[in-house]
Amino acid sequence: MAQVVAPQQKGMGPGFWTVTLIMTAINIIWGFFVTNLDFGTLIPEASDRAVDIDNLFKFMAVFGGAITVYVTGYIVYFCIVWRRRATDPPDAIGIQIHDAPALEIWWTIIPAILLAVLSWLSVKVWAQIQFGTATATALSTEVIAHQFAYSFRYPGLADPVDEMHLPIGKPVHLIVTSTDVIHSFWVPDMRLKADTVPGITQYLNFTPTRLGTYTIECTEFCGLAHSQMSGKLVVESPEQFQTWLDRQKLAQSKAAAPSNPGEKK
Amino acid sequence: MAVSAIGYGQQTFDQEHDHIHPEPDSFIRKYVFSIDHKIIGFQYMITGFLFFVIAGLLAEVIRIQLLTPAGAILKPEVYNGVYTLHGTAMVWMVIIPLVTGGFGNFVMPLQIGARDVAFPWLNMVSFWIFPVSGMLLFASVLVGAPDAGWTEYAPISVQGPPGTNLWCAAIFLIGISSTMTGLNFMVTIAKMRAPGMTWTRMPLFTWATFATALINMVATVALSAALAALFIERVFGVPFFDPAHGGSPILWQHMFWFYSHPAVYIMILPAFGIISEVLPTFARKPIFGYKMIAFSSLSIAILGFAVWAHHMFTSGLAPWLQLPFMLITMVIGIPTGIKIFSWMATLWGGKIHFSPAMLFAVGFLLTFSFGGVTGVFLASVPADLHEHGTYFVVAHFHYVLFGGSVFGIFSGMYYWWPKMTGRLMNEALGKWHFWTTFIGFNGTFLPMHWLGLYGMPRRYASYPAFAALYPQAQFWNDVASGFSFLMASSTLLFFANMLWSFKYGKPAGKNPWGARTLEWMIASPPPYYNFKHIPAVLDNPYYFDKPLPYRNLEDEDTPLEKPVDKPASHRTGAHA
Repeated sequence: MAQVVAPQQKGMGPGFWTVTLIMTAINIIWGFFVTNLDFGTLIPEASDRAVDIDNLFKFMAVFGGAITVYVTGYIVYFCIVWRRRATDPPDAIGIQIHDAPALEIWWTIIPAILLAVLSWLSVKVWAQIQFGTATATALSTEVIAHQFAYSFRYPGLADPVDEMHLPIGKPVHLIVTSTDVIHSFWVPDMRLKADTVPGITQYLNFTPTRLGTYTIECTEFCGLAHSQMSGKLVVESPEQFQTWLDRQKLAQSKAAAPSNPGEKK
Repeated sequence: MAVSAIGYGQQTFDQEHDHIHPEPDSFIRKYVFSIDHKIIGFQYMITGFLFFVIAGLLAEVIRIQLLTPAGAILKPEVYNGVYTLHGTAMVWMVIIPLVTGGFGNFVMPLQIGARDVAFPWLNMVSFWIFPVSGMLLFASVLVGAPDAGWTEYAPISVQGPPGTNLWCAAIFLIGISSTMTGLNFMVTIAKMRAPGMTWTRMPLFTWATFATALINMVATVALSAALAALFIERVFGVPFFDPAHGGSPILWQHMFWFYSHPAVYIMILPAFGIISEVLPTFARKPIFGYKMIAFSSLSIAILGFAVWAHHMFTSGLAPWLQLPFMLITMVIGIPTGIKIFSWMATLWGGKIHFSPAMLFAVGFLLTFSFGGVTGVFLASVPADLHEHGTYFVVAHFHYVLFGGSVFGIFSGMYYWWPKMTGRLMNEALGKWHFWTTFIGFNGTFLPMHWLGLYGMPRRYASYPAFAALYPQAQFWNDVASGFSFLMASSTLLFFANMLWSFKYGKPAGKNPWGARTLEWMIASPPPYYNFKHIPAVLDNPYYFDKPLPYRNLEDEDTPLEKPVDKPASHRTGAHA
């Protein structure tokens, strides 16, 4: 069988650098767009962690977006430029190149550097979440999940309440548990989530930074009413919070009064 | 020409003991309880696509349900069973059997120039476990379908409906089948390659199958142990996982993901292999970076064992333990990136022919690389605190499992269909199938990214709280549902194409695509003995400007006249 002769190629092919330039321009615009976008206008950033996590997300959106644009763009461009044309003989073959060590080193090193930087940024935010709040001065609050609602335990309150209130600007040390199966405690506006696992205690450290009422959602399947399981979180001024707490105290002592005072229910 | 004159590399081949068994006469032995790897591969495909239809219809039920925030048609007790069966079936009854049992069985022995797998009887047993376990799984609807999702997290799964027992049994069985297939393929590839086929001359689909078999053998046992424990806990009350009686719910997650993360690579590595065959064939170019692609398959398989807990960043791991799992997960992005870039470079400078197989391969590159990028978003622990358990995750894994594995399966089906059946498919219909699938797929799963980020959790039969949070919640869910109907109907074109080819398809001949791996050197469909004479392999297959690197294939055009039960006609004088 006669062997076909492979075409030779100098350079990267027609329009390669133009396409590269266009994609680079798109990526620069995308980068500016993402870095200047206030994520808080899309989903409120209601905690200090939300800002940290959104910045991490921006970093990934800029570089992940760039990788997506280059990969998608080159694939589509190669498919157009290097397609077999009607005029090509049926046994035409492509350029017989099967290695390019320099190129391969670059496309190993560049993603490796990007991932290393991302890892470093992630570790920094992670350390903030894990150890960033001085728990001694923080408001310590307990979240108890159960089928199919959340209860919250506050220092100074004998019984749990079913609505969560937090004072703005005060660090919170959240203790997260469950009494039956695994649920999850998620406040999308705070970007924070912890599974509530029976028998295990988890912690979330953050500071609420924005007044408002937020939704708590369950994200681990917990039974028939899983999709109805949600809670309410109110972030208010310290004074309002104190008033609310006092009112709860009063209500609980009133409720306890008719029965034997020494006996806790 | 004397065989001994050919450079065999390190392989030795015992010509004297090579022989062809006669073909079985009875229908049952030939097509039902067959030990022929090609028939078994076919059986896997037929069964796998049957479950694909069922699990796909379940997906449409999910999309209909989510048309309205209150849940359009089903009560939660039914809906929970629907998505659990959808996920379970798609993973264990569709993708894994299709990519390992289906393509692995049909293609791999042909690619390495073998007559069959190492243990044909074991192979038959492996296959027949599959439909049994599939039926067990779907029988669970009769007693109360499992409802906690395909991950069946304890302790909710301990309390789940009675069908959860059947779920355990079904997955346990298919796990045994997977382990046996893994063992079978590893031995086959290690010991039965044609003389001269060194590791660096092995086709890339075979490389991928080897890496997959390794994972199957090592990882599946962990899942089997977890399933056995869950079954025992449910039936006999031995508390492994339920903390109310002293068990550990996190233990289940560790055991489950120790298997189920590597299982992600079981599902994607063979698809990588398929793409690595299709791209060079239709670009008329050698695969770019052959060694790096083979090596990255192996490194992904091995690194894949050390990342499982990245599914558990919100579960209550010891905080410091999150770090190594995050870092290794990032590292695994590097070999995956190398593969993507190598495939892109394979397109560069080609003479690309856009057959349906090639379209799906290119579609795979686009969708899979996007899924890879969103995977990095999930690897970062702090970002995952927001994304975990939401539709962002659903979007991500459908981009890698549908946009990756299933696009790979379609590509492979169009590519090897002429080899399997001897007939060509309809190219125009195939192209329609690709474009409707590609558009339907992206329209379905792209909106799920922002649905998740805006606050839509997974496994919700209704989403009133989320709809109150995000005004466009219903709109984007309806968009996703609308495109999913397009995607579902596009699959009909694929099945129509199969039927069309049986009736009108032109004979394919030995090698309709001008491909260069061994399976294309023999008749389509291949005779039951595959190769009349075991070929000798002289070089890596992917050099399109060189002569085919095989010897001993001159005689393959005329079929063997009669089944024989003694050594096939040796090369003259081989043992005179």
